[in-house]
Amino acid sequence: MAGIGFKLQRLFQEDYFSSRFKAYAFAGLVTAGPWLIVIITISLIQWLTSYLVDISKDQQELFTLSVSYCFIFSQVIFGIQQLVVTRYVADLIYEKRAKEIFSTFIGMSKGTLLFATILGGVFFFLSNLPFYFNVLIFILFVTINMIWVMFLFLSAAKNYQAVAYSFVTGALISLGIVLYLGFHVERINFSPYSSSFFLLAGFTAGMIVTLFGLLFAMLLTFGSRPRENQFGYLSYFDKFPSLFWTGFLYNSGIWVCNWVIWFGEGRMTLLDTFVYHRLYDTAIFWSYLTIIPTMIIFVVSVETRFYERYRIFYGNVNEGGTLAAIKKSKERMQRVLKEEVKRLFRSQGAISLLIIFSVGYITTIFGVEDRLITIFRFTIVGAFSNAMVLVITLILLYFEDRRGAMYTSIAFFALNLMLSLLFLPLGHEGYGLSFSIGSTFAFLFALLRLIVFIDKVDYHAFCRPHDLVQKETSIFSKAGRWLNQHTFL
Amino acid sequence: MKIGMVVEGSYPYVSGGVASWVQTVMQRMPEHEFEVITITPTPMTEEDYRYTLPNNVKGITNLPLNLEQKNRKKSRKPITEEEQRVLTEWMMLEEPNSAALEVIRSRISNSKEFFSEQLFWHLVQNSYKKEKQSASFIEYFYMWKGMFTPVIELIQCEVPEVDLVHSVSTGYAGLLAAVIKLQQRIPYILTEHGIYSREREEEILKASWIADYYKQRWIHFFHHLTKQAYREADDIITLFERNSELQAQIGAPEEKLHVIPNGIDYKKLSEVKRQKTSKDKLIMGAIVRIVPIKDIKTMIHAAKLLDDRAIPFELYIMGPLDEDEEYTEECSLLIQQLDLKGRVYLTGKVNISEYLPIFDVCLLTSISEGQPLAVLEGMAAGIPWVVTDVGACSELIYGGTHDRFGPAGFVVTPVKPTQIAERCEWFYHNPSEAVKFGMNGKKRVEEYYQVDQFIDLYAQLYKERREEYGRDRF
Repeated sequence: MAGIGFKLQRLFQEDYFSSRFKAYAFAGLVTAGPWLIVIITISLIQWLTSYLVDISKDQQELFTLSVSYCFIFSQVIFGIQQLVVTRYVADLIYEKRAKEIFSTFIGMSKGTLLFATILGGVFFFLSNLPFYFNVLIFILFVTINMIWVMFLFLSAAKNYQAVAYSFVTGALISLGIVLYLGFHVERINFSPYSSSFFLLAGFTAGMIVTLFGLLFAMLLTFGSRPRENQFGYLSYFDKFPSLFWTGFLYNSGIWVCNWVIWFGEGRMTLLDTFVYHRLYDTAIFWSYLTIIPTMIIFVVSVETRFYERYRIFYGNVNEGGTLAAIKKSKERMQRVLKEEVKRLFRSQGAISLLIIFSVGYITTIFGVEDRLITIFRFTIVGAFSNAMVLVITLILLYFEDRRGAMYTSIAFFALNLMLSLLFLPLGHEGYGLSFSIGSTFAFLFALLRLIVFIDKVDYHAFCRPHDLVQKETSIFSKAGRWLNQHTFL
Repeated sequence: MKIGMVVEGSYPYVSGGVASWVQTVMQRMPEHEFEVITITPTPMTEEDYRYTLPNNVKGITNLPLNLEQKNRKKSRKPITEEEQRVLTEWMMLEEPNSAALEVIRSRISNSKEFFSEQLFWHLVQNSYKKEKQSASFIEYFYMWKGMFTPVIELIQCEVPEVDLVHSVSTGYAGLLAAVIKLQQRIPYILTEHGIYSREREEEILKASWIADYYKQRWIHFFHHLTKQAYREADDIITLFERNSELQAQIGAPEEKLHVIPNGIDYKKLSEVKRQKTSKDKLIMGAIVRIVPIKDIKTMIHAAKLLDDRAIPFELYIMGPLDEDEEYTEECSLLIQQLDLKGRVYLTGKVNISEYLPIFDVCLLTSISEGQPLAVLEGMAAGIPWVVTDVGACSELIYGGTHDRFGPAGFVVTPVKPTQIAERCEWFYHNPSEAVKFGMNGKKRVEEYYQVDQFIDLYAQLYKERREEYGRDRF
């Protein structure tokens, strides 16, 4: 008899919920990790070098600025590929194609080296430092870039121990050499730059130790090391352009206020090479130190209470829970998330407030400029909001709200940039204002987005309205295929 | 007049009873033009045609299901509360409703967009709650998508302008015909060969991939489509009494029901000169597609029983072998295993009139049928039959209420090889009775089942309906 019957309906039985939700489980660590390392390292070095009385102020500045530039710009380069590769690697693991992780590592390293070389080239062009100094800075820059890349892959493989050992060893060696040379450097004196050069060389040596420690861990972790399909990950730039924008704009948004203020009142240039703003930069580094608690609390609460509810909710969604079970687990998840965000807000808020009020007393003892304290009070607020922006961005990514994450990063970057430009004429009066206001508005936006989104999280999980986006581009996929066919290494 | 012929999983890509019927209707009405609108599971091309299109077919519109839909222009006004209510009722399968079809056609977005809207999300949840479901929600959700994807796609697709629409089943074809009728304000004639919703029901109950707790809803869904078609159709026609009663049971209004039996070209077949039956062998024929619903295996088992009883025979099973290759393979394997090679033949598609003269008896062992033309053809050629009691078979062999011609063979229970073998054996031992049975059948076909008769009935119906609607139109 006529009639199609409905064998065709079987089309709908395929696994629509290929659960990729865990994809971002390590994104938090990968995002927060390098950033914190950057902050802590720069602060430590600034603090340590201030004790190196034998070395001239200029030489100290040259050393710390070299390190700071390397860290800041490597973080921005890392941000370009970081989230896209994170997602790609998570999918490789999910699809049981873990073998391709190592070739992706090679591909991402090549991409990173390309960007590092371009930025390095620009630096060479603008720099007035002697050639050997430029080369040393470039070596440090490449080393740090590669450290972030390996950090990402080892986190994906959950090999945190190797990461920790490598960093600790490298850092100790760096500090050891820097301190040793710091007190003996006057003996070596072949050029006006020799003291800062040796400090930087010592520091770089430590970083190279970290680099090789991580490389060794990479080789141990990834037993089979194929070379095929190194650039397959480029297709994810087509597939998830929002992840690129999120990673890039967030990491740039962190530093964009500094970049603007480097050209404002009170700016300094060192040896016609480095532009910086000693007061503002210092305030920023210090204030980022104040949000370390957030990072720790977040990682702990996500790994424990929230993740548990999250898993139950998506379990009910995917594995055939009833509607009532889905709704109930959604409410529980919502409640726990609310509690955790509140707790985070309260704890970090308390810490930040405490520092804002007490910083006056502390600094009178150490004798710090008043203007620094004023800026610092503002940047603490900014750092607080920045931390909340990061946390909420990550949560949005957990829920696959890539658009929300992207909008948040756009807001974060754009507000910080525009307000900085707007307030620049105010000079010292306005420093810190743009960062605190911009970050706070970005935080409020993200919070609102999260509240609205999580309220409809079940709708989003089932109906996936954002999958309806216009046609994907294919330029990156094509580039990836072409590169795969023309790979020599 | 231009007639839109809506078919589903059939003409011109799949040969069979319904498709041949469509071909006959169109061929025999050269005074009308036809637009064939054919719904298939996957896209088809001209290379897939199984029929030579008659000259009066002006176009074939193939509507494959589950194809990416083009983006539609967003309607300017948001959907109103009343429209939402109508849509909700329809999607919850509460009542067939013409307004709902209009909402789906012109007020909602395409299937992909609709399924990602909050409106849909609320519909599914409300329906789940209302039905007091207590099983996997995600399965329920995908069941909804599976149900309504083809519905939305069909209702929203572009179809040619016609003067009258005629669908040859309910289901998706009936739904589309109903929409065409409402949209173009033209008459709609529905001819059901088999009872669609019953067929789907059987399929669903057997389907292992649908969770048991959701089978009821699938059955309900196809009944819903059928009711919608019954509601919009001006005439609900079937081939024989038994089906007409079933239609009434499902909810077709009595005043719309008619029976118009299928017919064949009597003249050509009645001229077949039968060769003298040979005493030493019973030659049997089966004019049938090799598919499970025809239960060829029972036929082969019956042949084996004859073999066991030492009755000399030959059995020719004539029909295309490529419709269900797996089943065909199983059948030929069975023939080998039962050691029937050289007596049972799968001939493939052949010219039947070459074989008809040599048959002593014809067999039909289907587990489901409408009104099989093959039986009429055999009868016209004067061949007696052994058929299973399905569809119109009993009516054909024993005659309807006012029939005076006597039996044209035997009717047996489906899936009973012994009964078939016994009847065949009887024909072997009573050749003169067999000839008499054959003549009974021949007379019956001449009287009631000629193709011209049924074509005339439809031609008249087309005319009447068109005139009625024509008056309304101007």
